[in-house]
Amino acid sequence: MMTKLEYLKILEDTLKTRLSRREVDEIMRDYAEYFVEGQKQGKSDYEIARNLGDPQEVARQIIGESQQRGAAQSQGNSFSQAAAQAKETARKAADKTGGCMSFLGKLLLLCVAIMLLPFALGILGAVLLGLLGVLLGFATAIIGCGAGIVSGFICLVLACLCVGTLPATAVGLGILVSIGLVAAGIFGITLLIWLLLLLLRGLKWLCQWAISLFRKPKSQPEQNQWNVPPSMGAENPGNGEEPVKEQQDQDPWQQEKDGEGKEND
Amino acid sequence: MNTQLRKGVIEMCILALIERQDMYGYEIVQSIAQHTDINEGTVYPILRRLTMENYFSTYLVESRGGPARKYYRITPLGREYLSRSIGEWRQMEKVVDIILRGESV
Repeated sequence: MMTKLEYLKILEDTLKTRLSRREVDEIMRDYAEYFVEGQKQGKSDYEIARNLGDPQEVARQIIGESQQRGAAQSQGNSFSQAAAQAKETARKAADKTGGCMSFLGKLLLLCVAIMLLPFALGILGAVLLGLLGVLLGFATAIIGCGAGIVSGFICLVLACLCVGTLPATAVGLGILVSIGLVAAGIFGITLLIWLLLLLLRGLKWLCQWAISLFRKPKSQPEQNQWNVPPSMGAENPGNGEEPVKEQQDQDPWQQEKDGEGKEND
Repeated sequence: MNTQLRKGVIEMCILALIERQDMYGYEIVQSIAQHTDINEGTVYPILRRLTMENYFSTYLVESRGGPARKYYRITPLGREYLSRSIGEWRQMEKVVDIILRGESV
């Protein structure tokens, strides 16, 4: 024979060993409610306690059910878990196909590369020769421009020395020509430097493009790895931390209305 | 009866009762216990687990002369789980019936 208080005390003490304070408080509230409802039906505390069964056994069942829930979730035998597993399998299959395709692509690329090797060497040689030619051209052009500037200066000096001995028009013409030569030389050199910079920039861009072309197939499977289905595990929120959704306002009817919108889905 | 099987059946009954209308704890336990020899104490732990699995949402309604009653309402997830459970139950029922009658499956 046990009173309500004795029953609840044993239940609480047993639950406390395994469950959090919050969970225990909530369960105690529910059982207190249960006793009061029984009393309203004209039952005695002893009768209610007897029908509920041994409080230690009830506590063990509650703890057991909590653990069963945890086990079921980690084993993944619920429907949402099964769906998540199916999605995972599909994802892995997709990954595999992606891997195969990228492997085939690499093989094809290798074959093409081997077949094109002689041509590629030829093209490479031509390109190198071309580059050498362009550089030589630049060098000679720069030398030419330098020579132009130097000769222009010499002409200028000579023209200045000849002032008075030769007709003024000839001297003036000479000065003009020499200044023109110097200006053309300077202009030529700046133009050449500008062209050279442009060429270097173009080469750099070409190299980057070629590198990115070879890198691309490698990076694609990595992107796939992050393509995890977003709904995985999202169908069962609140892992034990917030086991019960309750509205504890004062007005019960307001709660009911609120409750309608708060169903978990 | 096997404990696991019994638990599964109680689980399905709780879901089916609450699907029809929102109910409070004592009401649920009595509805199930009055028709069976099931111990009243075994119903509540299952009810609690189902709530933790988000098959039910709960709300409190003030009650005259006592603590507030905690009502249980089925969620869409609970409804889905119930229909699946009923499907499995019917399937099992069929197979067991065939075997018990001695026919070949």
